[in-house]
Amino acid sequence: MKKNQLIALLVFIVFFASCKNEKAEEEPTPVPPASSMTLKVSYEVDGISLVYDSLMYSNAAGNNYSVYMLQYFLSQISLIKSDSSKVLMKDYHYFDATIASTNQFTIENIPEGGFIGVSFNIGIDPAHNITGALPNNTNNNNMEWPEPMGGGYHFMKFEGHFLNVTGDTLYGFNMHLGKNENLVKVEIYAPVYFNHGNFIYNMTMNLNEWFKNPYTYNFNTDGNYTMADSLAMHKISSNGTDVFTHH
Amino acid sequence: MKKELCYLAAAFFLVLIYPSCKKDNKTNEVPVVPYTPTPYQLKVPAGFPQPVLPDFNPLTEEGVRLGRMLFYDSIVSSNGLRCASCHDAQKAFSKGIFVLGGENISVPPLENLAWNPDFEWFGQVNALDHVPIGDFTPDFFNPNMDTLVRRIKNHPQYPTLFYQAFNVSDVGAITHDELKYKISYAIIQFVRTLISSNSKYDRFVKHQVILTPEEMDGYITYYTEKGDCFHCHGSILLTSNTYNNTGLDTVFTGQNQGRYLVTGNPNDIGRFSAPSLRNIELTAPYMHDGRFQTLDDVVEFYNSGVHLNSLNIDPLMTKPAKLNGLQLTVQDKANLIAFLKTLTDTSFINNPDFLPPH
Repeated sequence: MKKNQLIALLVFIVFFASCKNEKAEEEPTPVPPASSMTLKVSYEVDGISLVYDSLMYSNAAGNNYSVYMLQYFLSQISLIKSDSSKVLMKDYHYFDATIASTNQFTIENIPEGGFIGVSFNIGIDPAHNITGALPNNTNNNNMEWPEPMGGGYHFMKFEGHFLNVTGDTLYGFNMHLGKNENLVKVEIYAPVYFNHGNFIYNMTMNLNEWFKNPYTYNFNTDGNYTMADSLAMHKISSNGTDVFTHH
Repeated sequence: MKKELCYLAAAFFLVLIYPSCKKDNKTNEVPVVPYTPTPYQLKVPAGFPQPVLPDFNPLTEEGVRLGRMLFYDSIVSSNGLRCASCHDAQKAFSKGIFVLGGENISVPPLENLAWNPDFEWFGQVNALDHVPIGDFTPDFFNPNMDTLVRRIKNHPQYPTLFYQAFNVSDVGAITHDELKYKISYAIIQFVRTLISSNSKYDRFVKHQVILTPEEMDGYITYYTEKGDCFHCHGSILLTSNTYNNTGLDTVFTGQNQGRYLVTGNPNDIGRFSAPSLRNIELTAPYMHDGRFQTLDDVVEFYNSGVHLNSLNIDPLMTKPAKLNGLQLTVQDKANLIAFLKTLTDTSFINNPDFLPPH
């Protein structure tokens, strides 16, 4: 009888202890404050705000040009840790410089901590640069790179007009980028620290940077259309690594 | 005091609803069934993106049914015209040109409009639902609204359909403008169901059929630099929904000023909506003013007739390969047209759901 009482007592103690544990588990554990980051992109040409269809810009090669269209993707948008590892924040984003709502997006739930920079691709990473791999919407579909030309997506459509070499005729230029080998990899090193609240990350694309460093690109001699010209695309994509600055 | 207020409110409420009850009894047009419209499930074809549908005019079975009847009914006009007068199913719901203010305007086809962001050649209408409102003018339906109300009220089916579609028990009890909008909304509900997605090209994309060697050659021309049609007429919808000046003219007056007439931006002079090329074989004549009678004319224009010095010419038109024309051979042009004809969707133009109701 005593033995049974002892067993009952032990069962009671174990039960009570487990209840206590459950209660302890129910208590809210402190959650590190989450942050968000809004990435905003603005556009300029050597310090002058972008105005469309105005023949007011001059590139490094001396071409006078205007801007008609600027559409592009950023992909694999990541934060860079101090050990150089990257934390993927957003798979891709479509930008149309003429549509303000596309020129910013917000990344939620960033854990507290510091990062040494931001990285992304201008264009679509190879794993998704396959026709139909991106969500089926009209923006993405309009950026498709035709199947007979290899498929995938345009990384960028940068179009406008320029005065020809004699300065008397206006031609169009179409700086279209696509194909995996022309993916532009960008890393911007500027420390950011997230400790709650929304952090605004401003970036500016200087369109003239597409036409210099390392290649001074001249519409008259390098071509005013890149899509079927692998050398022209190589030059433009090589120039693209420093088109963005953070401020 | 509170009790008195309640009695007062109840009395006020009764006073408010009594006349409407009396009117309903008087007109005797309200069906005794409750207003419970059935949502219409738009069938989005495989490969198509989700359409953009407005909240203010949701698709319902009853609305589509009413719209289809109105589309084919001259009851909306004082001159015998109906929507179908200018939108013939056998021509992908287009039909030649109409003359407005002495200028020719090509009637655009009605197909896959649920995916368009704006409408008409200059994008002058942002909501498809409001397009038919423009047809109530003297240039088109020119209805006597009192007569229209009477006709609808005396019609054996319309009073019930207006109630089932829009909860309007008496079309005489709403304003003429409200009636125009209800008619427009119903017609557009029907128009949104006009989906073309079963051309030979669609089946080719799905790997269900193969193209002939000629069609395949034309496909390559279309989707490469050789013809470069795809930038404005690509992807599954075969339109970029952009406004472009393709170098048709160097002088711009009247309707020919295009998008500029909407935006007032001089840079938009001569820019027109890039239409979908679906069913292009059926929608002659071509361009915004119907200046070209055949596909041969259109292809030849892009091959050799582009005015490169046209104001605001699209940058795509001055690529090196185009400066001296596309240089397409006779066979290239024939093959390109053979491909364009694969965009014809006979199941669309013969779909019994899109033809006049019995």
